[in-house]
Amino acid sequence: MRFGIIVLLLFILGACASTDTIAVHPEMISIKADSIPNNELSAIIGPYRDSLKGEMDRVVGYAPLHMMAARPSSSLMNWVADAVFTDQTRAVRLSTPTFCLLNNGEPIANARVEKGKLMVNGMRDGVTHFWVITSDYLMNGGDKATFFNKRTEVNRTGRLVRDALMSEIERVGTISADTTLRITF
Amino acid sequence: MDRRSFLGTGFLVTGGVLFAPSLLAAENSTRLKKVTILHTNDTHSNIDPFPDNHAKFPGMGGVEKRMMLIEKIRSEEGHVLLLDSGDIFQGTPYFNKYKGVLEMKCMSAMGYDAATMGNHDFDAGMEGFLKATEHADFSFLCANYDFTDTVLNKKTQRTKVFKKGGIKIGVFGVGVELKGLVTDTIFGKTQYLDPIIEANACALELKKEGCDLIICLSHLGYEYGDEQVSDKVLAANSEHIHVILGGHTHTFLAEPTQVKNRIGNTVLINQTGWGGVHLGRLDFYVDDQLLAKKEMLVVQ
Repeated sequence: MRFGIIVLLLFILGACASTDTIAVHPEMISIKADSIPNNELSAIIGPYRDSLKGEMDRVVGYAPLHMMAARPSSSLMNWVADAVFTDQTRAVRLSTPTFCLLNNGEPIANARVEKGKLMVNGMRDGVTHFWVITSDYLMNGGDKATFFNKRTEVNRTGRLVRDALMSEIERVGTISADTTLRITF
Repeated sequence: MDRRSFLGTGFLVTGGVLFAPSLLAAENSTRLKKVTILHTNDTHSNIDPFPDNHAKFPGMGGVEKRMMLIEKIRSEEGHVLLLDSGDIFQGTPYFNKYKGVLEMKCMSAMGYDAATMGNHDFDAGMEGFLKATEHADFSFLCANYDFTDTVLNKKTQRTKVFKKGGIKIGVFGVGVELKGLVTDTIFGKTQYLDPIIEANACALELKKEGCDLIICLSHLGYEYGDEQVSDKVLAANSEHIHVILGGHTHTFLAEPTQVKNRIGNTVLINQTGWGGVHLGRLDFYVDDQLLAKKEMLVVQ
């Protein structure tokens, strides 16, 4: 009888032990449909969508020609660098030479690269430092911008590149399309 | 005696074979328990579908279509858990204008059960996140961000246990190192804890609580060329995690990656790319018999 009880207990314990098999059937489903369904979400999104459309679908300014990004230099990249440079130097007057460097290609403003050598406007004998207006992404070493590790001072503006570009477009109305090749190697 | 020999087979499978042998399928078996896990990551404020002329994802995604799909699956399956691995915010003007409120409303309407925080979920600031999550009726799970000295103190949880279809599912979340990804002033006094240590601790807690299935929501990233902790590194150094639902690296996996953990069991890693163009689906079958179908993966 005792033996019987022990066997029964062991069986129960065995059944409780974590011996479950877990099997999985995986599937990756593409989310596509011919039309946007009308469901509970449509009512939630509706007012937000309409209000955003009103703000997004408006003319903020004009470009004189179709501007595109291209390496090493293009009208669009020149304009982006110029706009950020202007936006920031209008806000803050800096006594040392200053230029602007951004990523996605190498947009550069108030400086040029000639045969690989950086020439910053306003650099002269005796000046050892310059300011670079750039994004936090590059300053933190993004896009292999490791040279920013050698920085001596940082001034965080809190300004978004997007906002700088928007405000420059709205300020000038028609933006400039400078096709000068600012970078040569 | 039969049971003993059956267990032997089970252990062999656990130890080495990745695809279960074609023993049988018995969904109608009363002992077979099933739960469907649906998951997304890096949806990045993509409320609307991508435009029809989009180079990569023409007309794909959009929360209304996602909801339609989720509703269809819910109508077919009794037990569904819907999870997200972070970076819900940032990527479209919806976020810039409404600071994440709409994303939270949509996810709540879709019936999300839990999510973890990605680095971009700090983009409205921690106050902004807090404000947006007033509209979230699901939990944020963050095991390796210590928010004690911040406004998010006690606003997130380490782990959460769900019971679906007789299966006890333990879920927790781990996130990526914020320094360098998020401005210091934004994450403030958030303490970053070792994701491997915290993940193993959570998984052990959940196992002790009797969870049949342990899921890690991760925003660590799938894989790196250097020593940075990724989902693959976490999986290899883990013990009780069955599945890692990943994010951050926008990796599209056509099927889950299988990694051996440090005791030789298989861990699955899945990731759905980004932008809400895919929905990951994992149907889990839990049983004390080996009832796996031919095309199934066995994780324990």
